Amino acid sequence: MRKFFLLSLMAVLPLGLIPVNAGHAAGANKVIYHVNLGNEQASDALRNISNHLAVDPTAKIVVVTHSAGIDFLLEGAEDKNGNPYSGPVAALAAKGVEFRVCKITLERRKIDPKKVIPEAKLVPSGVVEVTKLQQEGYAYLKP
Amino acid sequence: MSNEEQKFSDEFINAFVDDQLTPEEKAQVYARLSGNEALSRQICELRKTRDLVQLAYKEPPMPARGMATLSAGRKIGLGVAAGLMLVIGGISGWFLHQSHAPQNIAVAQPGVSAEEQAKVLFHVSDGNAKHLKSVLDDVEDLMKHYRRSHQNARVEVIANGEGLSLLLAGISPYAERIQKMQKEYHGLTFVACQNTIDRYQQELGLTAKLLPGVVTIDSGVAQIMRRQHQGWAYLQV
Repeated sequence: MRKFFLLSLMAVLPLGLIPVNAGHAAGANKVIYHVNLGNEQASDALRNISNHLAVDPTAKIVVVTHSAGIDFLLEGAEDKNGNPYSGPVAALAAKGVEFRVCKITLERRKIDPKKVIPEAKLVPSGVVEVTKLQQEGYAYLKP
Repeated sequence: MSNEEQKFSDEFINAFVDDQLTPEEKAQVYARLSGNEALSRQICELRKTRDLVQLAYKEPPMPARGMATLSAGRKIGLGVAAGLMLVIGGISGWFLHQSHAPQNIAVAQPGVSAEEQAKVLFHVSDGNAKHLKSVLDDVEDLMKHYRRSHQNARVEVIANGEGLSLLLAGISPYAERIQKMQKEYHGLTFVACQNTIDRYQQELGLTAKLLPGVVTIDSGVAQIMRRQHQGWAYLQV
């Protein structure tokens, strides 16, 4: 009887009595940085990400941009002190950080996709990208 | 087994779901659950329903005071739709979980499939008009995306703090657009934070009038937490 009871318990556990999404890989430190407000926010994001990687070099970081958030990933973009963004972006990309730019935003703002710097990748929609990555277990950070 | 299953009354199973049984009684249910798919599913659904009830929207304040409220029909429709979706989601999640259990750790795909309903929460706390326009653009683009891909979606736009101005009658620069979007996309709900409304009343003596069809929630922040626990994707915009 006791054995039966234990077996029953084992059978019950996967049945949704525990949350279905409890199964993320241990130590999966995947993070979205969501940038949609503009260059000031982008500067904060780049600084946050540098610090993030200093503390946790294995973190998988994806920067998803749309609306005004794409500006720092366009050719020739500079921060408020006149420093080009391309340097810090390339440095982070070399460490495995991914930068993604929303195609809908490019269309809406009539920006030529060629103006996006080569370190960044185009995605159909920034918002959809953020939701998809969360479904894949990414944590969400808004700098 | 099915004969034994009859012995559990609905009250008994409900008490189990509500955690009101003695340890002995609970053990009986657990023992019976083994290999009994119908009973497992019944319990799974009851749990989902219970969670839904607990998280149901609070009634907005009386319309007589100028607050907007959902029409009864729409409210019931929403409830039924939400309930159905949860049940469907629950069942498909259950099967997915069953079939993928061993690989779960490697794939880390918590029951996501193309057929499953997408659930996305937008959080608006900034009241700048230009910003609010881009928020609505983002929401509309997302709704169009789900429509194009024939995917069911529930999308909530929660406004609190200065973001509440998006949903205030006489103040929102986009009242008409919001009304259009509500008509166009049934899975889309605009939600106002009651805490913010109360604060406006206390601090500024402002009685907030919400746009038609906007629902209220006790606390925007609490709702954001609940939704994330329920597996909703979250975007602060």
